[in-house]
Amino acid sequence: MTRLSGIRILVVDDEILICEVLKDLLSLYGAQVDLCYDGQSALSFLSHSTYDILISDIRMPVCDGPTLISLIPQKTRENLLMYFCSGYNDLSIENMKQLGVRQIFAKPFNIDQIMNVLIVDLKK
Amino acid sequence: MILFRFFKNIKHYLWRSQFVLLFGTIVSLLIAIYFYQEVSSKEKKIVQEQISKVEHDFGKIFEIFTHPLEGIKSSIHFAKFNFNHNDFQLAAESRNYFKNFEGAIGFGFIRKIDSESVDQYVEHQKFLRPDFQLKWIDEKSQNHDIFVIEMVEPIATNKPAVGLVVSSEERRRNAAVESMKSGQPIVSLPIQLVQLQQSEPGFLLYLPIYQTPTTPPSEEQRLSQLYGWAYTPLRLSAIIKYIQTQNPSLTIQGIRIIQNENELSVYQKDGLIESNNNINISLQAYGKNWSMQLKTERLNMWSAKIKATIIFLLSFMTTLILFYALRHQENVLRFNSELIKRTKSEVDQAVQIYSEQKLFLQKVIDNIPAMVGYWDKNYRNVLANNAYYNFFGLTPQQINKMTIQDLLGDRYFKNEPYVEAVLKGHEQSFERELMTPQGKRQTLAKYLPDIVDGEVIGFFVVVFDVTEIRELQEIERKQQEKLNYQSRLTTLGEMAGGIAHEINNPIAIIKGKAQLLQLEMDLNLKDHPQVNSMKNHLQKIDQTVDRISSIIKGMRSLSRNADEDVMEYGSVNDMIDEVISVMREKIKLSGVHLSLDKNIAENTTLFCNKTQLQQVLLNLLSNSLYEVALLSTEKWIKIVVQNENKHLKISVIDSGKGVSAEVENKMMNPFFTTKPPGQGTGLGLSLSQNIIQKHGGSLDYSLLDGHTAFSIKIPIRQFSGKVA
Repeated sequence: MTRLSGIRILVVDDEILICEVLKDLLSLYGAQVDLCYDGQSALSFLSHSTYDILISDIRMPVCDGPTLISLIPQKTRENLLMYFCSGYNDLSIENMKQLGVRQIFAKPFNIDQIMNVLIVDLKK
Repeated sequence: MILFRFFKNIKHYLWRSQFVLLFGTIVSLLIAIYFYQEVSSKEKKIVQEQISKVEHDFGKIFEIFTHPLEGIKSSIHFAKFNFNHNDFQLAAESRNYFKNFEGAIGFGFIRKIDSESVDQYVEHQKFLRPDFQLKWIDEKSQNHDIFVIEMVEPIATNKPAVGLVVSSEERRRNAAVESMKSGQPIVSLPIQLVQLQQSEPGFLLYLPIYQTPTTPPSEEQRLSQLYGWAYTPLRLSAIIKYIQTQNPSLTIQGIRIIQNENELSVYQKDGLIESNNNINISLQAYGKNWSMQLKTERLNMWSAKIKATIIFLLSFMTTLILFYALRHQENVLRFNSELIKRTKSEVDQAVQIYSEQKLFLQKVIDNIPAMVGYWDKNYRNVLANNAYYNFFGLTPQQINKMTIQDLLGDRYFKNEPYVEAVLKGHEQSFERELMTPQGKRQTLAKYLPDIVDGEVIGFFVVVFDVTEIRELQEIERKQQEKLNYQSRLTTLGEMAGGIAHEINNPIAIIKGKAQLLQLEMDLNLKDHPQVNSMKNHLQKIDQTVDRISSIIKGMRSLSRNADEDVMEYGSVNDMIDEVISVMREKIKLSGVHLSLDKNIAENTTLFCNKTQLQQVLLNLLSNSLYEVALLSTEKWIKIVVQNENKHLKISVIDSGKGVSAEVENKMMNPFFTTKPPGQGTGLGLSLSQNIIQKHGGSLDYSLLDGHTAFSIKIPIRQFSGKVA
């Protein structure tokens, strides 16, 4: 249960309970999880701290997922694994790849699936 | 008869007037000529009679004077030549000659005296009548016999004649000689009588007296035996007066004596001699050839001519009237004939046009792909096209004038309400299935009233074959239904999309919490006696959430989604392998044998939405697995991949024995499922079909060698890009 120990994860979702569930789940695997409820504050978090993984909702008020990612500085992106977690995917695979998002986790997500992906991606 | 035929047969009635004119003119002429001839011959006859009378009278007048001369002659003979002038005087008085023979100046005796006896004679006479002396007229011939008027009575008026030597003048002598020679009474040429003071022509009429009482037969005897002459001097005027009195209708214009080819005018009427209406007659009387010019009142040929002309004109006018009447009639006839001819040609032309148009009309209606007919208000057929009469197996001649009752026979009762209604002016329309040589056909019959001036005079029947239309309509209706259905599904999908977004977060939370609880139980409640039971509950929650999720996901996929529409070239082998790898474990656990039969090239690609296509394959495999797992023996699933007519065909065949017809009809409907409640969403096949159709392909169920088979067929597009 320590597969994610030492990994810093930033979860962005306007649904607080989603954030909390993800935080609880990922924390169980040893990850250090910060939560943001909108894109603006996520950018602020990213500029102040260093994260290994970003898991963001797509549809959010004020600043949605794709906007958030496009606003992340290139330097920060280089060492950041970015994922979307959405219940309703209106992005094409092309768009997703252009943005540099590695995977979309469909809601309701399965923690095992997420873990498998993250572990694999972190190993690379 | 010939004429009648001439008039009747040949169109020569137009020449009747001319014929009548010609004929009438000829007839008029003939009538006029006939009349003229009749009249003129009558006239001529009368004239001829008059001429005969004149001739008779002319002869008679000398005859009248001859009688007293005969008397003198007989007296002389009776006296045996022994009488003197006193005896003669007595005889004359006793006969009262002058009263009876008006016109004669007197009657006398002329003696012939030898030349030797002249002096002796004169002496003897002087003895008897001292004043007697010979009177010579022209010449004094002593050597010839002389003819001397010895006696003449009445002496009072004839004194100058006594002793006149008539032989001393040619005309008197010639007549005397002629009379002596012929023994006939002879009249002299006109002379101036000595008794008359005025110049007035007269004649001497001689009757010879011979020594024998009868006239000697030969001239020689007559010359030798002549004793003398009885004679009478006659006035011309008296003769003319006599003839004129006897023939009052005639006027004597002139009298001539023709002698030795010379004409000697005896009498010429005073004043103008009218040349018209003159007739010349010639006759011989008393030794002279007489020629008379007479004017007759009767011989007026002009009147005959005028009458004939009038008759001709009357007749001709009648002809003309007839001619004009006929000509008028002819003109009317000619006009009528022209009119008839023209009308006839117009009618012919019209008839031709009519028949051409009728043929054309028949051709037109024959080519109408419907049965067309027309019935009059007495239910009789007037018109039918070939489709119509062929349907009833009749010829156009047979159907014509046939009643609709006879045509339809027992079937009529079905059409009767429509027929009655259309004859009341209401258009009728009804559909019926008819048996035709082409088989069962759906037909639409229309009865259209033919209304003229508000009255129904008949109705049109048009029967269309609407089989194709109805079939097409049915197809269209089905397509429309399908479209509507698609549209409803799309709406449902879009709704689901909205719902999904709203519901996924809550269920993600539930699922997340359930997983969290499980993880926490694993970490903290490992030894709790109820941990497995609790974990089981949590798994059920997890699975239920997945069910909700899959329902929503399925519903979402019914809508068009930009992401899901992404099509790309993908390797068919990879796709199938991925699906099998996902399912392999589950299949193996179910004790089912899975085989793969790939008959395609290793690098075969398909232009598709890989995820969706895999979803379909998964769905089909899941369905098969579910069904096969229920079987007790022979559990297998076979995947066959092959090329077929530029299509890629992927068949999932299992050992099942197919589905019931009821299921087959409904299995593609959304939310239809044969699984127990809670085990299937009923969206699988519906979604799969939807996806395959979006790929331009088809998803079909069939029974292959008695086994259930679902086949996907997707058209293969030529690869033109990179493999994703």
